[in-house]
Amino acid sequence: MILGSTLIWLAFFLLLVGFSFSRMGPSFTRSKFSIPLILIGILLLFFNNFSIENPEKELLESLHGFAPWFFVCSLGCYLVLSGSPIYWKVQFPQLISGWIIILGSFYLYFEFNELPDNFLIGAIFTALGVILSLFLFILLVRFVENRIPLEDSAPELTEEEMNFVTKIISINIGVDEK
Amino acid sequence: MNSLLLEILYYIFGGFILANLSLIIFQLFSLHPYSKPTIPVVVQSIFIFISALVVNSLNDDLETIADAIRFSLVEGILGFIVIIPFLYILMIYFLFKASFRKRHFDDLLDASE
Repeated sequence: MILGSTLIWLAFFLLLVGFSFSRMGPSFTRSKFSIPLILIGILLLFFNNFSIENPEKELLESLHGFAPWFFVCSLGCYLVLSGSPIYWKVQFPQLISGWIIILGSFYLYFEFNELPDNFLIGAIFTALGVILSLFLFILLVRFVENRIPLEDSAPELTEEEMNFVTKIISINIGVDEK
Repeated sequence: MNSLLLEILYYIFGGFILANLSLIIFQLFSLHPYSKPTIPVVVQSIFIFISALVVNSLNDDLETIADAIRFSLVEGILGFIVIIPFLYILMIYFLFKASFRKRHFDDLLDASE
């Protein structure tokens, strides 16, 4: 595999790692690396000047046609989301500009993107492959989770803990502690 | 084999390999003390290998397993590129509903002040 094609897969890998790092939860400390990794991935993908062989060449040509619509439409969706009514407040500049951008983005889609001949077949059967993979993943996670033995029930609260909890609840419901 | 049937199989295996590889990367790079990814990652890797073997046997142009994985990933991403606009149209429908929704003011919010 030549350098240009290798860089395409490196970009793809960095994009996936970036999205994985942005996950909330116990791994949240890694989320600060998410956006830089995604940006490096995008730059590698679209500013790769090395010669590329097939099948990556075909992929990159499709991505070049698809990317203008994708980024513009995503920007429009973001603006609409930030302008939509939240607690009865509507941000009209974001909302209106977002909808204009979304509608305009479809011009980019039909102007630059070239749909493959059997695009519906591609969509349906790729979705089928993805669903099969997700089904396998759910089965595997279920299998692993079922193998973990149940933990013993938690011990009863100590006198000190009981007093502490009573105090917190009393303060929260506005009742004097007796 | 019929070329349309072959194309369908390439798309199915492409989507399958793409999603499995993405999930493997996701599990490894979002690792935390409560996750147990060993069994899923090993089984998914085996499935990717088997799928690549099948694709390699179906396509005479592919010489190695690595070529089969590259080819399948490209097919999967190309298929996914076609799916994304449909997902966006669904999202735009919900955005449209969110943009123009009208809710009655909740008196409870006033009562709390």
